[in-house]
Amino acid sequence: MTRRAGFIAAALGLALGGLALAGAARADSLHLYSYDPADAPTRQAAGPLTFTFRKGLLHTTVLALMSTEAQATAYLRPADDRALGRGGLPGVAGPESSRDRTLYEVRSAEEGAALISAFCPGAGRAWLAFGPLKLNRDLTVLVLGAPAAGGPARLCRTLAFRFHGEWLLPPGRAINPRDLEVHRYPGT
Amino acid sequence: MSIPRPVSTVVACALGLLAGCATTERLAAAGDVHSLLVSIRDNDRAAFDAHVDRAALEGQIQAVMVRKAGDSRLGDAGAGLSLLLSGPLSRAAGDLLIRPDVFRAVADYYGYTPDRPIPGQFALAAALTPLPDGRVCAKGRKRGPCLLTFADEGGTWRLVAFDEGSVMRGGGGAR
Repeated sequence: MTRRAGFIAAALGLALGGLALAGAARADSLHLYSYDPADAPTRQAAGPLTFTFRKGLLHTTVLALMSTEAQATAYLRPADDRALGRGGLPGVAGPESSRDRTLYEVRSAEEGAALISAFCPGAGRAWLAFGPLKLNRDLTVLVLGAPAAGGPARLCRTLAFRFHGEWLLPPGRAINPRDLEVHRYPGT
Repeated sequence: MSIPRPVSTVVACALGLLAGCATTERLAAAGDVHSLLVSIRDNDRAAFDAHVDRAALEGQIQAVMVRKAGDSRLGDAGAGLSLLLSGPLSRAAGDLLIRPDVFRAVADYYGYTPDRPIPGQFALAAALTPLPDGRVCAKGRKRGPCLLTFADEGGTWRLVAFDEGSVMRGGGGAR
């Protein structure tokens, strides 16, 4: 009886684990959060921005950022902080300011090059280190840049944003984040 | 869960209608283009004059006037008028047209209005497209006309040409 109970408990555990994983997969959803600049340097360089990100149970992946006030989009890809050189993100930005951040490289497609120039003049490559994107919570983003020819990365600036709101996506079928890659509004 | 701004804005952003090549030129120009647009917004004549190539713009205005007179149904009178327009009259027209307030509609289009914060450098740099001859143009749409064209003149990017339709018809061509 005890062995049987143990078997049932193990099976139940596996089933619940499977359900949790399935739920996590289903919970993977696309979000758009808008932020306003919280200080003058951020207003001057970035203006208000909207971040598109995919959120799952255990992860958040930022896909793109858009100027909320103009037609300008830059796409991001997750990056390993070894790309920044020796010491990684803590080595460039300091151990405190780099805590709880995720690093992305700015892709040069679309207005990526314009973004690199505006955020880190003189750099040929740039990375953004995001703090947590959470509803109704302000956000800081570290901008790191390196010369196109190579060389060590440097901290260019820290962008400070106030949470503005979340864009509601159209109801209906799930949004495929790849829709954003083909210049189509998600879900259409 | 609020909707912060009209959805259409984000739709347009997501569509990525504005493209642009990544070049140093357009990005170096952004600071001077920004200064010009601020001078238009603030109706600051001195700052405006520092960022326009008056001779180039007068030349464009003259060419427009001559073309319009020449292709009119005035016949010989039109030809005579063209000659007349190529002189002091076009300079007088330049004095009337090369002023901050004439370019207000284009500045408005790029978000430089007295009632709104000045747009960020990211938005402005994204709107600039390099031309093969080294100049930089500010477009409204990816395949639209250059609304404003700038050239590097001794380290300062100055306005050297503009889209007549957009500027003189009050920005209608900008959209």
